[in-house]
Amino acid sequence: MQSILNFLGSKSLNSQWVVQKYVEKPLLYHKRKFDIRVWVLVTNKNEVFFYKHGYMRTSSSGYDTKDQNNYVHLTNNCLQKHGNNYGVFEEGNTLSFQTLEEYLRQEYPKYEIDLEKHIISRFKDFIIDSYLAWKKNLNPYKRKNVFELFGYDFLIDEDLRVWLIEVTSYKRSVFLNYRHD
Amino acid sequence: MVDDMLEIVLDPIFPPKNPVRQDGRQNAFELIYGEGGTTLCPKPVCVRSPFSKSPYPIKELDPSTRLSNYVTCSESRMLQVGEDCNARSRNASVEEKLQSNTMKNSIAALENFTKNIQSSGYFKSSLDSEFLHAHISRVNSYMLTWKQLTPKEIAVVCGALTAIANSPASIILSDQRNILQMSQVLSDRAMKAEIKITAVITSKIYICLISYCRLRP
Repeated sequence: MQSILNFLGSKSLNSQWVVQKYVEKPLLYHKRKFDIRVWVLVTNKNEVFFYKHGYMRTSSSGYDTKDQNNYVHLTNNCLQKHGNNYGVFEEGNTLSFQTLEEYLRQEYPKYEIDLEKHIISRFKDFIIDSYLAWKKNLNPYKRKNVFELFGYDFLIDEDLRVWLIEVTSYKRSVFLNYRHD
Repeated sequence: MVDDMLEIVLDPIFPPKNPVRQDGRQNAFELIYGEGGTTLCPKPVCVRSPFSKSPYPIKELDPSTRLSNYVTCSESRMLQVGEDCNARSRNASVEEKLQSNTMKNSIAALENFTKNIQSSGYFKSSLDSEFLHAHISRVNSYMLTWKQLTPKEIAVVCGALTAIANSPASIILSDQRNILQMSQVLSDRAMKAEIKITAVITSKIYICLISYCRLRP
């Protein structure tokens, strides 16, 4: 708590920060941490589309809470690609949903895990909740024929609960404004 | 992915001259929320699960399910055993020892629950009726099997019930399930006085609640 206060004390008064609980016991893939990236498309017509082909992003090092190395805890590709073990276990440190489902069924046969029913449905819940929470701010100028692509990062803990970690907007790279004349 | 995305965002505005889907593959973008009245979403769509759905997708991993399982076990055990609890505890088998350990953990959980419910941060908005019912059922089953408990454990059980009665969650005591269990406690002549007094005090509270609910227009 003190380190959080110290950090905030060093920042300007008007800046805003989010404090998130660190999930200490994530579900591991072969003893390595992973998160899940899914893509979401939102149109100006208040339609939310979920891209079915999400993927896992794995860490290159074994998970250990005592190890403060970022390569152990952060699974973002932009960080992992600089690691020495990048691509050693999986090509590009990414794996498909199908691989995750097979792994879960193999590791926890008694739970008969159905990825769509048990995990992906929770992703959709979080996506709808976050969309409704942020809807008013998405298209403040009520532009027509616009859309926005979001990258949602999820984490699964050892009890198979889903946690929403971060939502990234790709407005700058793919935002297009088509004018229908 | 880009083809699928453009099919949603571009094609309705500029219909393609050549058909895009020649392979019969479906668009990988699934509509999960829509307010209706659009080409792609003529009727409102929302695939959000009910808010009552547990965050634990696997029932066996849900702590509240594990808790209610324990309550069910203890209740059924209570019915089978009847008044022969002391004799049975003398001839405790390995299974019973395990149950005894579970009971110790369960008492500790009850103690934590009492602390939480007494804290100032416990509001009506944070009530989870099924979770509270599980705790109340556990309290009632302990009261009925009080002979198995130590005086300290009896105090914890009575404290838990009093804490619920004095908290914003007291309305939960007027539930029929609780009334039936509480009537069993009150009708037991051999019941320890401390438990009976607690039951009477809390009963008064939920009788008031029932009367209030009935009188309300």
